[in-house]
Order: sequence, then C-alpha cells, then structure tokens
Amino acid sequence: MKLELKKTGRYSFPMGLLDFCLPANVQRAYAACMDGIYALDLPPADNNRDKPVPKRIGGHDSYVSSIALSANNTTLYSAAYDGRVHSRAINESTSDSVEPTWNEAIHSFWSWQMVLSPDEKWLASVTGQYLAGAEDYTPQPSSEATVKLMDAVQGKVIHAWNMLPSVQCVTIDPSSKYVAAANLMGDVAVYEIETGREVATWRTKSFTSWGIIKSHCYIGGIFALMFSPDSATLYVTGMGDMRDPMAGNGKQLWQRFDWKKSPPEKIQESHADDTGEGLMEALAFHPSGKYFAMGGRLRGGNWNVGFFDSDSGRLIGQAKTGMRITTIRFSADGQNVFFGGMQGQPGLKDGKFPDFGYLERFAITEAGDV
Amino acid sequence: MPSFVEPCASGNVHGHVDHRLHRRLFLQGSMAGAASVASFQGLFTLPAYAQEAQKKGKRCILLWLCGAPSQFETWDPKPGRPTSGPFGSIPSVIPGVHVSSLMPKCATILDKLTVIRSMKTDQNEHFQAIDLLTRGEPPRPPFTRPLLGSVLAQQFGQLDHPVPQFVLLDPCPEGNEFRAFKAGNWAGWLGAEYGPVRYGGQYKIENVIRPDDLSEVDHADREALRSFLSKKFTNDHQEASVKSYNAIFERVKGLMKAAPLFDLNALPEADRQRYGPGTFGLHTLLARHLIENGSTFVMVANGMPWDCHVFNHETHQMLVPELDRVVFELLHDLSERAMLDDTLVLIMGEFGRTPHLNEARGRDHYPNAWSMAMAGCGIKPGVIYGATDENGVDVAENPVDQRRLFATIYKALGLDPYQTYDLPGFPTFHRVEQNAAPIAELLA
Repeated sequence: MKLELKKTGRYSFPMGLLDFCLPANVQRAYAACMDGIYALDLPPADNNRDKPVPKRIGGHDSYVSSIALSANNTTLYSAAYDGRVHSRAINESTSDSVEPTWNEAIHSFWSWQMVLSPDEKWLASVTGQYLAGAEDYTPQPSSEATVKLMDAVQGKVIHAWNMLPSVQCVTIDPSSKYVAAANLMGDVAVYEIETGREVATWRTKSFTSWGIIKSHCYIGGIFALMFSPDSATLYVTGMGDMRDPMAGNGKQLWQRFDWKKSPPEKIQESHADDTGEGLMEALAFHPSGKYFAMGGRLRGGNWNVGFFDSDSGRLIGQAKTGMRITTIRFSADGQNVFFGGMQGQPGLKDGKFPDFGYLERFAITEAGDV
Repeated sequence: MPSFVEPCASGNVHGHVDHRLHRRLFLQGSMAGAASVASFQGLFTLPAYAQEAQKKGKRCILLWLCGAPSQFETWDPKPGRPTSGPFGSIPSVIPGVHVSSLMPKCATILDKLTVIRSMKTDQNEHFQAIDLLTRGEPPRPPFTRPLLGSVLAQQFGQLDHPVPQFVLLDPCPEGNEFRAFKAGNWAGWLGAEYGPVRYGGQYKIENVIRPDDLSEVDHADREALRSFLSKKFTNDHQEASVKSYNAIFERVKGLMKAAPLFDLNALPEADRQRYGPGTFGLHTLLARHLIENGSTFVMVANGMPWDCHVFNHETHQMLVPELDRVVFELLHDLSERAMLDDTLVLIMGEFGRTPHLNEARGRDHYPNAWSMAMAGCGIKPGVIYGATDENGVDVAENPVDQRRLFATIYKALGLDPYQTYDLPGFPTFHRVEQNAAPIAELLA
C-alpha cells in the first residue's frame, strides 16, 4: 500500500501549538498552545479567504503542553508547564473564556505530557526537572513522583510512580489497563493501573545523547510513545543519537518493543534507508491499525511526517510540512490526518509578533503497492 | 621527592596519579601562537597603582558560560511576554527587580551582585564573539591582543610563582568554535608565558611527578643540561619563541610543585557537595581553591553547553539551577574568607539568545541585547544597570559594548584602562581602545 496526502487546510494560532484534540465529527479543534487554550471551528474545506480565527477559551500560568477531550465533547482537560491539570466544562460552541471546574497542582515542575485513557476514567501526567546528579551530568533522582495517574472526574491522584527525570511522554493503552512513560535517558516503564505495579522497565540508548563535544550533559531522549492497537507492543520515538547534542541531527527513528517479554525485547525499528534526521515527537496509529505516523522536525532528509506499514515497518507515505510537528491525529473515519505544531517564532513585525502556531489537515488516499 | 606547595587550610592536598599534567597537551595549549607572535614580556611598564594592586593580590574568577546563556532564563526575564519562555520570574532581594524562577538562590543575594541587562555587541558567531568578549577588542591582524586572563596574570601575577597565574578549567577539549578558540593564541603579544595552564577532561596535571626511578640528583642534572643547551640555543637564535619555550619549562617546574592543588578529590567533601556534583560546579570550587593559593585568573568553562539552538528550555532547566547554586556558593565563600574585596567575579558568555524561538525548541545567537553579572573587587554591589524593552528585543537604556565593559573591569581592578602597550614596531595599542569610559555607576 502507498499513501498519498493532499493538504486541505492550514490554520494559524498566535503562538506555538504543543498539542490538540478533535471531536469525532472533526468540526472543531482544541489546541494547547504556548499562550493558552484555543478553540477553532474547522470548515469542511479551506477556501483561503475566510480563515477561521481561533478563540482563546482558557489558560495556565505557562505553556499548555497537553489537551484531551471527552467523547461526548463536554469535558476538556489540559495540563501545562505550571505543573497543573485543569478540567473545563464546555460545549460545541464554547468560544469565551471558561474557568476550570477543577484545577489541581499535580507536579512542582512541568507537566511534560498528559493523556486521557480511552475509557475516560484516568488521566496520566508526567514531570521531572533534569538537574545534575553526577559529575557527568547523569540526572538527579526526583524528590517527587514523576508519573502520576489521576481519576478524570476529580483529578485526585490514584497512583504515583518514580522514574528518573525528565519524564517527557506518557500514554495509556487502548484497553485502559496500562500506563507507559519514557524519559530523557531512554528509560521506558509500563505500569498496571489496577494494581499500581510496575510491570516492565527497560532502557534503550538510541535516543539519548551525551555530548562528547560542546557539552558534557544529556540531551534528547524519548518524546513520544504509543501502544499498538492490541496493546501487546509499544512504540517509542524521540531524538536519535547525536555526537553534538546541540546539532539537532539525531536520526529519525522509531523502535517497537514486546514489553510483555521478560526482559522486554526490541522487535522492530525504522529502516535506515527510509529515514532522515530530526527530532521526532509525535506518534499516532491510523484507526484501521494498518499503519501509523511518526512526525516532528525535519533536520535532514525528505520528510517530517512518515507513514509506516504496521507489519513491515516500511515507509509507505510521507509529508514535508515546513514546520515542527508536535501532535498527529487521524480523524475517526481515517480519511484525514491533522498535524499540529509551529514554525520558528518570527521577529517583531509592525510592533507585533506574527502567528507561528499551525494546524494542518491532509486528506489521505490509499493507492496501490509501494 | 619534589617539594609540594603547602595548600591553604581549605583542603588537604596530596599528590594523585590521576591529576597530572599531560605535557604535550599542555604545551599545545600554552605554546599556541608562540612561534608567530613575539613575546614582549616586561614591556608593559607597571605604574605605581598596578604595583599597589599587585601587593593587594587582586585576582579574578571568570565563570565563562560558553555558548551563550539566555538572558530570558537568567537575569532579564520577561514574564507574560511572547518572548518569555515557559519559566516564570521571581522577586529578588532588591525591591522591584525580578530574575528567572530558575535562580532562587541568586535572587536572595542580588544585592551582592551587579547585573548589566544592556549588553550590546556586534559579533554574532561564537569564535569571533568569544574572542571579542575575552580580549575586549575585535582582531587586528597580524597583532594579537592578549586575553583578559593574560593581562591580569602579567599585571598581578608572578612568573616565578609555582602556582599557575592563569588557569583554564574546562573538561571539554572540543566544542566546535570554542575548540578553535582554545587552540588559538591566548596571550598574544605578552608572550606564551602568560597563557593559561589548562586542566579538565583530557587535560590532566600529569607527567609532572618525578618517576621513582629518576633520582633527584639525576633530575637536577638533566635540567641543568637542558638549561645549558637552551641558553646556548637562545644565544645563537634570538627568537621570542625560544624565550617562550624556556618560560614554559620554568612553568612546568612550578607545576611539579603545584600539581596537588588540582586534586579535586582532596578538597573537603562538604565543599564538593555544595558546589557539585556537576563538573562546572566542581571546577568553580577548584577555581576558588586556586585563587586562595596564589592564582591570579581562573577561567571556568564547561564546553559550550549554553549554545541551545535545540532544546533551549530543556537544557536551561538544568544549567541555570546549577549556575544559580554555584554563584551563590562562590560568593558566599569569597565573602566568608574576606576575599571578595580583592576578587572580581565575572559571570558571562559571548552574547545572549534570541527573543524568539526557532523551530527546534531553541533560541539562537543574539548580541543585540543580553545580560551579564559581576561581583566583588571594585564593583558596586546591588546595581542593575541598563534595561531592555518589554520583549527583550533591544536595549532600551544604557547600552554597554565590550569596550565599556573592559574599561569597567580594568578600573574595578585598579588598572588604567587607557594604558598603552609600548611595543617596538607596533602601532600604539591601549588596554581599552577609543577611550571607552568605565561605567561609573558600577564602580565602588
């Protein structure tokens, strides 16, 4: 199978877009941006004349890093670099600022990422400040739990686990039974929600750099992870290894692990001849389960979003969007894919900072064999 | 056995096989440029006030934040502005003055520091900017201006002192542009003898311990032979590089006595806990120790980790808290030891970082409006000088370039900023060119 993509919409936001979510009818988007939470009504097609304007409907005290929407479109969850998780009651036409129904201080540092479980019972959020813990700048263990599971109704913490900071991404499996998180050092852990047990942990060194030139510290790590549709395997991606941590030229790379094996085993990874360079920070499975997408920033190569066959792992489609992608979402019917992210922040123009956050929509066509 | 320098009371110093000078690398660092630049040792006549300063033992620690830190995440936060980044700001001990929330310790001692928020320079690339901010002037080939450290080593130091007068502590031998800088000519027209001794990473204080199978008598005989041959060669070849080479040998002899001072493991564990565990902190502790024991200028670098073109916030979350703690501890210790009045502490990089973020989560080079801090010798504490506009895009008041900064530094140390170098066959050079004025508001 080969995928062809056609851009059908591009919508701008004042500042960088770090996450977004969509209702099933994809008539709206809710965006977690550096300067707050936005709602955007999406037209069926982009006519380039009457661009919809995003409405700011809430905010945090710092960058909003994550956003999630209940299936009935009435509850909007957000988490931010202020360490807080909010819940807001909304409806399909909310366009004014909405105060949170609850507002919980979950972490003393950033919420790097927060997710809602598919059964909508749980919210998982991860944190951790990277502080020097040794002469070689190995991270210092955190004094507080870095992975937290909350009930989605009240935001109360149910489980708290500790991984080495900084824990940069989290996911919950399709069955809503397992939480997985990963960090700067390439550590991955899977926790069982019912018991609170850590059921698997391992380290992959493919995503972390220690600067043998320029800087003797750790940079990069895993920035996104997701379970396969059957929950049996786990995919991770991030910043591939770099000799110069400040170069941003890590290999575009995903790895797939059989996390139920003891010890967990890497069973698949992206093919080197399919990939280029750049931080990858988004993963998403197509609703059919036949393929998945990985996206981020293009540093070198042909694409910043790649689509991979879930059996062979080969590249079957690609897009070069000209922006850093932070989130990928497929529409529920699988006919469209949305990319959220940002370009570089422009300098002041006529006394204002031009928009630099973007949401893009692409129509997917499944063509013949690759 | 060689006679070791007696350390000050801050640490029990013993020789350590892992902390010895690697002579070849040491020579690489110290001799660089010696063949191409003449040595003019002694040509800079010491005026009376410099002699007075020498008696007072003035010295300087430069915390060189190589790669260039973000002013937004350190000294000049812009809360609520599109340029602010994700970190908040916190009030300092000076009413109305805020610093980044990543600097809670420095916020409590800001009245001991002086911050310039209006640095404005014109070099946008590392190598040129490092050169500019460590020498005070852009290059004027074929003449090479000495680094601040070399000038101070010459002015305040003693060549025959066994403790190196100019020390560069840096664990990272490479570092792209900084690597080229490190391989360059540090002491310029002052001569290689005023270049730094380098320590850290692959630069060990090694090969300065006399091997057990070499007796003191044999060692002395060999040195006498080397000295004799050197003098003969010098007489036949009147070259500055030969003088510099001999000066290096003299320094190695001094290092044989001073090597134990570089033994980090010998420093008190409580001090290591306060400054460490990162190398930058430990090297700052070592800088304090070396200054206490007779060094004049110690430059503490750590590769160039501040060059955050990618992951600016993700890297500053780690680097700034370390800097915050290290500055706090250093000023505390210097103050407690009554050394702050005679020791100038400089905290700076080669420029700042852009108000806007790039696509890679980074901030890029920005010389247009940036910050640095200083404390101690001759500097009025608690002054926040200059300001940037609401977004930190440009300097709003009191711009400071490298000349005014260097004029202020020299004046604070009791040196005449306008002193001329009397170099035969050279144009007239001044310590600070174009009569740039010291910043009066910053001088104690």
